[in-house]
Amino acid sequence: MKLWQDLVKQGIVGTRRQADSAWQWPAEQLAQRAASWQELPGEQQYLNALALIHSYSRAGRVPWQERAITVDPCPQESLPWCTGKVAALLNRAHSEENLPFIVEACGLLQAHGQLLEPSLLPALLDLAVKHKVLITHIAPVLGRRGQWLCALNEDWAVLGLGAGSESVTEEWITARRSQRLVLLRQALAQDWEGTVAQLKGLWSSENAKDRLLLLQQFSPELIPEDEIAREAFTAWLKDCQQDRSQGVRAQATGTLARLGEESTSIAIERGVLACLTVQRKLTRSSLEVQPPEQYEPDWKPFGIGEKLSHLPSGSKIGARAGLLFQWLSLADPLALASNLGIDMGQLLKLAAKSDYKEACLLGFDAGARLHGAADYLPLRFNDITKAECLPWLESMRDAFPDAALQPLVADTLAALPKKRKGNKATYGVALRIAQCVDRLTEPMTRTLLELLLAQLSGKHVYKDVQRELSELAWRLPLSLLPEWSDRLTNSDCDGLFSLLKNYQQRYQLQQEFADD
Amino acid sequence: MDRTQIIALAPDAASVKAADKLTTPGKWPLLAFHDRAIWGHCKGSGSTPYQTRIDRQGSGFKCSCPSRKFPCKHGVALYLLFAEEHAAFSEQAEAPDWVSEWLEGRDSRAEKKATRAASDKPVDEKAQAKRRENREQKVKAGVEELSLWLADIARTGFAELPGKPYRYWMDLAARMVDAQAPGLAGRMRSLGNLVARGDDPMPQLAAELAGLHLLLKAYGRIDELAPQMQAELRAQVGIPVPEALVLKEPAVVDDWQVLERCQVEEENLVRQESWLLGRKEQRFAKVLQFAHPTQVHGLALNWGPGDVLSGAMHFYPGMNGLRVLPGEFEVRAAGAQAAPTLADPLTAYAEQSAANPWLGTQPMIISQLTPVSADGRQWLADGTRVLPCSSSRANWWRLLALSAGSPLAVFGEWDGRQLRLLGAWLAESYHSLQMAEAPA
Repeated sequence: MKLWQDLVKQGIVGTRRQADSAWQWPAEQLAQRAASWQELPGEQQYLNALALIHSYSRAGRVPWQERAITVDPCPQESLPWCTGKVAALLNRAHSEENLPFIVEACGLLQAHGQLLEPSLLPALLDLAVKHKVLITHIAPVLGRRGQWLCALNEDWAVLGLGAGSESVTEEWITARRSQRLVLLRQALAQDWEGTVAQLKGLWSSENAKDRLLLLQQFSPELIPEDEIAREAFTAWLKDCQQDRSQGVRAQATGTLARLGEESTSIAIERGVLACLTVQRKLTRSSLEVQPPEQYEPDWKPFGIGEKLSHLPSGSKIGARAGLLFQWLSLADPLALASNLGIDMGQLLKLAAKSDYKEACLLGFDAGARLHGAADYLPLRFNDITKAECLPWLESMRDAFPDAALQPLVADTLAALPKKRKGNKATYGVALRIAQCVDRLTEPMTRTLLELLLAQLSGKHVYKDVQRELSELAWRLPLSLLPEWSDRLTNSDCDGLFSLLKNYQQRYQLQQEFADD
Repeated sequence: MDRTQIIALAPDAASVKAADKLTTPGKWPLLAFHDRAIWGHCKGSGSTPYQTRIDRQGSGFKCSCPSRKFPCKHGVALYLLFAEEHAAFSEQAEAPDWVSEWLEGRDSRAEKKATRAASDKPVDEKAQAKRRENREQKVKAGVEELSLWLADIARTGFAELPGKPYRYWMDLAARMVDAQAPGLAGRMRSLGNLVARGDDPMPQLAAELAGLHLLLKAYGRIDELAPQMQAELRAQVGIPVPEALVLKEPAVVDDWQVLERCQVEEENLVRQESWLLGRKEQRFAKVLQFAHPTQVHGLALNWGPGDVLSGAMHFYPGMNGLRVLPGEFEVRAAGAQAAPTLADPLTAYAEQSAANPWLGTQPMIISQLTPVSADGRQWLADGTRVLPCSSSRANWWRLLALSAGSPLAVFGEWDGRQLRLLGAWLAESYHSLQMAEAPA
């Protein structure tokens, strides 16, 4: 309304500067009303006019705007939503940012063919953007509604492009690095061959760091038993051995070695056997270790670096020991022992006596990790000192399944002193050892909890220990909760209480699905 | 009481965290309850455990710990334990002395209060009239002072107002508080906030000043107006209506569904607003309560969205009475119920605006609307038209998640320009858009 705009303008400058009362009233009744205050001072006339027009325009105002804005509705869900109890537990987990709980709940929902309740979606999507570790767990239980929301919100796009999304196979190409790797995994799951063809096409335009990251994404997916995939990728991986980046060459060689590609395996065997010779004598044998005298240019495609100055343990080494370590880390130690005509245990003992003890043993470890040689673990574990035990187990954690590591973790835990000796406590080491497996067995749990109760009851622990204790709840078998609940309750320790709370919440969650 | 409701009783997030650490039965050598109270002994740092007790009627707390917080972490923990670990409590016919004496004390204080309120003690009408007259004079003086200020502003122009310091507005508000016109003080504070806004505040400022001028003029001739309009003007100026008078208003008995409950802290005062909807009469009501930040537990906290208050509400007098004083009622779970279909509420608002120029925000339920975003703002669309709306980012996405692009019934506060979104119905269940437990 023009009169309102004129009145606002006049109000800004004030009636002292602009005393205009000849307003064009939009209705006769208003003009008549205004006529009754002609005798009042200018500012009163102005305020009356302002109030009159404001009330007049407000009364009967139609707020609707004629405009058609539409949004494509979300397709109907084919799976049910989670129960109200699970939604309440997830709501609490969200408020406490209890990520392991959310991960476990999403896994259970997926296993039971259920979806996140709609009202939970925005909060959990925000949390997944904040904590990227959640992305792969939340994405499968978003349902169509979650996907629909993700399509509307740029921040959540990375979660929305899950299985079933047609654009995922295109989006991974242009996405940012962290999102890109998630998308690549999804694209590979959706269309393995097509995605790898895209990857090959893009390869030369990627920088070295990205090439390595991309290669690392699907290398673990290739298994020796999958002959089709092995044949399809061998040629390309061999091309990668000519890459400009040493990291990419080493990754490609490692993958080829794991797949048992013939020429690579032969080259590795030759390289390793050139360094190691078993000298057999009547009374005892010895291992002669002769690392290469110098770097050969032929080794470049295998990702062998010319100068490796430090071992993974941090020890400084010379160039020859570096070459020895790199060759050994590509070979399966069990196969190597067989080629040398001795058993693995003996090879380890002989290597431990050699001048290149550390390079040999760490090289065998790396080779065992690459080839997943689970039988190597107990043999090597037998000769490890107490001090080496924890870092060694931690180095093996990601390469082996729980079944291979559980006996070793159990032995290590059992060997720890249960009680404090003066100020010396072992609960910190025990917690780190427990983190080497995803799930603790019942005997391991009993050993660990006895130790923790003996050392922590009535004690205050720092926040980082408290966090480690609360995270431990996700590794314990639920069957033991009734047995330990009272003792943990009475421990009078903040950290053990956090552990118990998480343990109980996890129990409640599992109970919700137990009746299904 | 569930966890969310109990957490709402805690004075701060730190108390909830501290209480959470005590929510294990092992910390409590004694845990017991009966129909009236919950009590327990909590191990503390001293040799004797703390005695903690809760009155289940009205959520009263007492603890022997030295904490100045109220309720203390022991009280919150005991309540949380009772809600989550009920099996750990033993039911007893009688409470120990330290609980029963406390309950008796509470009962006797409540009884005295009720007796005072209901007493037929002869009112000193002369003194009462004198007090009323004194207040009227103070309010009129305040109204005149503000009228002069407004005329001065109209003469010199609004342009200088954005340059005024915040203190200028607070001083004006303080003078209105002195004049016993808190409603006018609130308007002054709102104007201060309005001009401090970065965007062009002039049209909105002019509208607010127009409303203020009309109010001051009308109050000047209040005696000539109809009783309902008089009550409205008194409410606008902020003259309180004694609760005893409100309770004399006829009770409206209904099943009042709680649609929203929120707390806002302003000027060292916590204001709790609760929106109710009478399921039978389909009438809205607003429970408004105030408390000092340290006395939040005194507010009604044992109900929230998802509950129904079955019982009586007494409406305050006024033109478009929404504010109520709760009478006797029972709290129960709302259960499934579809959104009510109300006659075109926006048209009704426009009509009410004609009769009451100070009509503020009004609750509304509007059906068959789809939330959509366009031009960087939020809308509710019905296919051919759109209605402007507003909500926080989190609430907006929750609404979108509920809607999934399909029309649904929404609940919100309409201020004449846009709908502030508060809740929505998904099938037959009502969802408040606030998260039940916000991240700590």
